[in-house]
Amino acid sequence: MSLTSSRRRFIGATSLALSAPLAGLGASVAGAAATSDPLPDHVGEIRALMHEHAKRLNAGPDGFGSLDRIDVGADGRTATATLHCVVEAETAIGPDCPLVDMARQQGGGIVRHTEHGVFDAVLSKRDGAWTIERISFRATQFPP
Amino acid sequence: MPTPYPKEQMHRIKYTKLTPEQIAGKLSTVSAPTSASPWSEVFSGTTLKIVLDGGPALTYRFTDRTRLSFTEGDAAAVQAGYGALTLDRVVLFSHLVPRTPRGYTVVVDQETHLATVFETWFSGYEDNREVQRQISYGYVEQAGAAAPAARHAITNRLEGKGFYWKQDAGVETLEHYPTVVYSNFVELSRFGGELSFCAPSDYIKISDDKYVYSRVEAEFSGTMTTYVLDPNRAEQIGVRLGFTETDTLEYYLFRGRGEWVGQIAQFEPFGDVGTKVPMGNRNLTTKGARAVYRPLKTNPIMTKAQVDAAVVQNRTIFAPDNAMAGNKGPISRFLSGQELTLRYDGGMAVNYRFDSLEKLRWRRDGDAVWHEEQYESWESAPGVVMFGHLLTGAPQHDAFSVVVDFDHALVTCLHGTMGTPYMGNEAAVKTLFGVVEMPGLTPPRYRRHQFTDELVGRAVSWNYRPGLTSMHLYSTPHSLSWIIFLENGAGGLEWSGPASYVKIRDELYLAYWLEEACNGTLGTILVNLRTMRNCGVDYAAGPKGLRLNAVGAHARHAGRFNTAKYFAPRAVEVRS
Repeated sequence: MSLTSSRRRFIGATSLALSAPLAGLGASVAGAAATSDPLPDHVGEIRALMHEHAKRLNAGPDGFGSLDRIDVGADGRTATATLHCVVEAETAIGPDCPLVDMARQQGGGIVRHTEHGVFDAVLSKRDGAWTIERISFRATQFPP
Repeated sequence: MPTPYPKEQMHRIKYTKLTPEQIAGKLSTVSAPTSASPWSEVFSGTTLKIVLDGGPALTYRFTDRTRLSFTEGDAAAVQAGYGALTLDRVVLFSHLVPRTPRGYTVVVDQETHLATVFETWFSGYEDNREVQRQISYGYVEQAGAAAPAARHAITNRLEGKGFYWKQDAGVETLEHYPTVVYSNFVELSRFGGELSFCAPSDYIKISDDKYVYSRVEAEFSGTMTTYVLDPNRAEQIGVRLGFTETDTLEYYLFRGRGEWVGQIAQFEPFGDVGTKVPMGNRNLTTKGARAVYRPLKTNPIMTKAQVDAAVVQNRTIFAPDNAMAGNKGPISRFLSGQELTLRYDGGMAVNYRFDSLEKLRWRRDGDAVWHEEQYESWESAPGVVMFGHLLTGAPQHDAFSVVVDFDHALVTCLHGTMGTPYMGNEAAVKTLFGVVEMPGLTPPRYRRHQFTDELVGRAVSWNYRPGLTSMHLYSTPHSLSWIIFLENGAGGLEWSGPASYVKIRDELYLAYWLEEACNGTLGTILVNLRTMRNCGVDYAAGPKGLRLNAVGAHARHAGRFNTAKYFAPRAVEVRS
């Protein structure tokens, strides 16, 4: 995935922020997809996949999911998804200097912060299962 | 005439890299600790079974006040010599495990029956002489009684405290506990009290008025000092285990009395009593693991030739992207366009032409040739300007860090040079006092800035930028210690170096510190305790070349230890 800063990285999966339940995150189904009569499990599968991806990156839901979208193509084999989330990120303090080096030796030398953003994904269905083909993260200044 | 000063201070001693065989040989000659105080007989004739969380039970049979037998779990009983001392209801006893590099120091609270056990061993780190330790908590089994739920535990309740200690054998120290994993100590009698040193440390709460403190002098002798202390009474009982600079085994128990010298601030959230030490992504789960600052691991010693070559490759002068200057004050316009001479006592005088905000020219008074340098300057207080620059081409890559008080026509210069007899990439410094000569200023004939001990004992936190805060402890008149905060605001790793302090005005001090036997940096800061801000210059050399950068941080008062009186020269005691 692309990151907005070369120094930003998502922290490990031990943060308290991860304990926020993701199951409540909603997703809307676009009209086009609705007219092609997507099976409800398309949305459910895609939502679960996106949540799993977000969880691995220590992201949690942002808001109540009303702005999230899952658009399933008419062929039922392609889809796009947009997931608003809050990401716990950390930025390494730099440039290097003795004090920063010392901080790193005690597990520090970083600034932790939360970032609002959006996962944009392109998905396809292969062998009966939805797969993320491309996904990127866009930082947004404010919550949805 | 003997003096209290060693030929080399602790950080300069080349401690022998003892082999495990050498250590085993030395341990085999010692059957029990010694003590200047009488042994306690509190456990003589008794049996104790100490049940430890996550470890084998230790069963002791105390034959008398100097001999015991013990078993570790189901192992066979072993005979050993031991010594015990008591402090109120708390007993500390210690013994080695014969024919091994191991030993135990045990602390038992006879009222709660809770116990803390330090298992110690040599030859567990690449420097074999460095004592390793594993701490276990448990209780003394009581016939017919249920196991207690409580345990001794790590704490931050000692954090910020400081004590003067005098042991029964005459050893005097100042010991500061400014972090939850390190401590700062001044060897007043063994090393003359010039410098403070730092060591990874453990802090354990027995009760509100009894604690266990322990340190290992890692990167130095590797000696471990462990004691129980009562902060109200300022009393201690403890044990010292390790090898001196002459590789002599020290293994003795001691009793000490002291004075509480103060309490500095803690920066954890309210309610945090230090039952956990947040170490971020550090994994410290192996036996004996602890966070230890080992500066020479990341700052290898270089020769002068290597430094010279690195400087040719790269010089960084007042880099705009600088972690230590995130809270730097504005560049001063005071000097721009000025011409003046700084005349230092001792003969050196330097002419300056400040051509712009960033460019100056200098020459030694009487020389014809001007040298152009990049500089930065900051007006810390009205009329007091600090500036710094390199002396390009000087054989020791010299740098000046200068504070000028134009209201009094006084100047102090910290003249930094790169390279010492110990390391090519280690700065040295001389302090020069003098006067300013320029049109309209009449300098004083006798008055000068002066060294001061007004900062001694003070602690001040410095925030350089978001996420990067250290605390200075001005630990002695000649040393400064720096502490890096953990993510919860507790003090973390700490180190110390030679320093000095010059008073410029009330609440305005010029300080330097040298990170000797470390990364070699010379830090120079002008500390303004009214605006609670500093400005300064950071001067260092290493594999990446030469660095002369700005420093700028916001301060918070963190309290003070009342220790100045311990540094006054005094008559040497007559020893019988």
